[in-house]
Amino acid sequence: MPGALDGVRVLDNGIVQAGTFPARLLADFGAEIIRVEHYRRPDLGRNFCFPDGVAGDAYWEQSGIYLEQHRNKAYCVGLDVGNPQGRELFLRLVASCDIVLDSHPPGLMEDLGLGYDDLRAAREDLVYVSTSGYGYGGPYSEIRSYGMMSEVMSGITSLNGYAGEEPQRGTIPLTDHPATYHIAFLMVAALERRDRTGKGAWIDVSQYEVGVNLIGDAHVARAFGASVPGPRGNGDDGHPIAGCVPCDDGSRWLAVDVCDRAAWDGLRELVEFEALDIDRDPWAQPLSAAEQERIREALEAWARSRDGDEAVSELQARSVPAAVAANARDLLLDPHLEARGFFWLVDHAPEQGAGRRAWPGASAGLSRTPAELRARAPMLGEHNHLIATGLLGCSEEEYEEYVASGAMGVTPDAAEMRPPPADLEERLHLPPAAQLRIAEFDPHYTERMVERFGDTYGSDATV
Amino acid sequence: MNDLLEGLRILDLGRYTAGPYCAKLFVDAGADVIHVERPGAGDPARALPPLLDDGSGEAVSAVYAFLNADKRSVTLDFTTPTGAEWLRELVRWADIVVENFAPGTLERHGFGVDEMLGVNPTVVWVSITNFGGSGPSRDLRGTSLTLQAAAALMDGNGDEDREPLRYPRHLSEYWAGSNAAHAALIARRHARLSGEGQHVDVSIQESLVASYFMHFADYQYQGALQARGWLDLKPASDGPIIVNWHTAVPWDVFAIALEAEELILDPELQPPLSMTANAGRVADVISRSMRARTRREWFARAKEHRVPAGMVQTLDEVAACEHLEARAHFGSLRLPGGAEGRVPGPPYALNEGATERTQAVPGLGEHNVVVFGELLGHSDGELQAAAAAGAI
Repeated sequence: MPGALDGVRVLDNGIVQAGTFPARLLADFGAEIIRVEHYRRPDLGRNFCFPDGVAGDAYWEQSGIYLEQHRNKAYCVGLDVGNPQGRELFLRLVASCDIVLDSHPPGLMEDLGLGYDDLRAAREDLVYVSTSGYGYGGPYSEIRSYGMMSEVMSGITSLNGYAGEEPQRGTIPLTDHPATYHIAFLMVAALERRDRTGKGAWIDVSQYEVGVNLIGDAHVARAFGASVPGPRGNGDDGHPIAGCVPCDDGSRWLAVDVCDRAAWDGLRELVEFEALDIDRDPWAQPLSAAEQERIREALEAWARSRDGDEAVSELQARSVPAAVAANARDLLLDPHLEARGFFWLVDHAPEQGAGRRAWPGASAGLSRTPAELRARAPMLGEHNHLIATGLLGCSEEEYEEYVASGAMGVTPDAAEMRPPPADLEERLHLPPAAQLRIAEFDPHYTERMVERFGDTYGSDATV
Repeated sequence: MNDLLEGLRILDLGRYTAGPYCAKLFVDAGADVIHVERPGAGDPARALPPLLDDGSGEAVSAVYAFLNADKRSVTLDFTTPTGAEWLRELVRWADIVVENFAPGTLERHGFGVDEMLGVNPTVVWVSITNFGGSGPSRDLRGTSLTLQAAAALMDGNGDEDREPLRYPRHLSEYWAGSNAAHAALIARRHARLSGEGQHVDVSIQESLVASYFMHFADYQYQGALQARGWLDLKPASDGPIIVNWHTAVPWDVFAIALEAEELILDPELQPPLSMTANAGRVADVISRSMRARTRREWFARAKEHRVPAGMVQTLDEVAACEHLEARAHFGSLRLPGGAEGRVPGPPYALNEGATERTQAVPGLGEHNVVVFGELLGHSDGELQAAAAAGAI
């Protein structure tokens, strides 16, 4: 089936997450992605999450996170752009691409002679989209940053936490993931203008500013003198009842939000309110903290021994917004996402050590030009020969020369690599201050996945 | 405001947050956006707290103001015959229609996707719903809280032994709205090149899950499920800060930047043990050290030594940030009653220089005459009749 972005070619020079995932979004709808990596010191995103927790000899090919977020990218070229021939190859690739996406810290590509002006000399109407923690220009520009850092800077964290308590962070680096859609939007927007006017563009996305926009309404309120309190927890929307109570005998949490009168009436049908002696419109006459607590206790008494999914059905049948606080397993097994075909089964190369896995599919459903699974994630430098002798028109001799000089390659310098992280069993026992904490290991995960995705799940039906 | 999408026509039938945020991204990129609101109360976001004095004693919601600046506001009741006819005319005008009614709502009023593609075969029709337009959860109700729960966002936020926490404000809806915007624009490009419009089905749940995906590999590779209690904030003397080691920075430099010599002296506190078995001890050492200086002092040291770092800033601090000032991030916003304030601009810059100007929040139905009269060509008499019939 044709894709909406057929014929669009993107050079993906992004790293880790926010700066490279947008190319995946475009790939899902047909764009041809040429991923370029510094093969000597490849993407940090390759260094997390290995099969069975063990980083094997070629572990940079085996990160589950990498395989998830680079599927559908057609090609990977391993270059050393510090090598003059490597730099020249990079510029020749730029000349053949509509869009370049880059997420290296500002200044780094310039120092290599591969800044926007250099790239534009190779292609006048280039669409160049850069993203970094703070963006180009300004005193913080060259500060190194990950998503959690631009998140805390943006003010989001100052509002995150239990009501009235100190701010805290969750596991999601909140500027990374939402930034990806903004970046993909801008890539296509600039392409549309190029088609209309013939003009290229350099668009520079600051993840700090994405964070500011994600709570833009709070910043607007502050600007006009309204008071914006600190963390308000699950009551952030100011609804009379909003929060989580235990269900499934305390093994899961049920989120319930009484957002309007229909929900209020629905909750009163289910939960014993008579004994509470609270019989009025809580919007006309707000509940006191003590009343909220009594209702919460009644709700908890109702929910604790119930199956979470059944509790959700009973509440939703009475117009009460409710959901179990899901985890990754719940989503993989979710009948709704299954009915929508949300997860895609992706086969991998033997070197990737993954077999057949279920990765998230399209972010949106396009009725005529739907996203499709086209390819597994490419391996480091897998398409060096193909791209050099095909797209770039080099002879075999020239290709050999690039490999011999180190301009192209497929193997990282071991000394440059980050030491592999601990296996998950070890992580489970780490004290709370450690990163990537694990709550539990489900010993039955493989059976559950095979039951859900079929007997071929995890098998080496490779492509 | 820039000219990336100049000339593109967006019909924003959105309400509350997700749809209007999607359309906002188009406004900021120079598209022409008409926001259709219901007569009387308008978009329910106009009532979302906090309410601001707009300069004339009238209240306007900060949420509405943020999302709808520089859109043209018209009022239209599409359950009336004239309203229905004029909505069809607007659909014919539009390149992209964005709506976030509950599934089936517009269909029941005769504005289903198939009918609308009949009215305008090249239109991109974007529906943003809680769980998408199909599947067993399609009709479930949802709020920020319950959708964040259903998307597994909350299982990593909050303390381990207490209830899971949602993330603040409306950020999960904005997140989904940005997904809708990129998908809509991709479909629009296809429509422009092929003449073929289509439906774009956006589920808020899937918007969040598709882009926050890392834990699916952890489960499939290990059966691992993540924990809450992500204690990476460290206490500087005047508030929390984050610092992280990065392999490009020598460990000694990292320790010096943080004034934590113990990390150099004790081999057990160095990589790789610092990242695994002794991560907790390293965190304790760093926490102790952090108390000696302010966030700003540590931030300056981190910059000097190229150590990744970030300060937990309040909204006031963000508004006073020298970096945002230098990037000219803030712009001017005028409320319907004339009050003006300095507010965040789009999260990106073009290398072509910004065109600094004031964005205006529309009053309810402020553009009825210009849109229904000048754009659609209806006479004053028709407008008066429509108003009398409650259609606009």
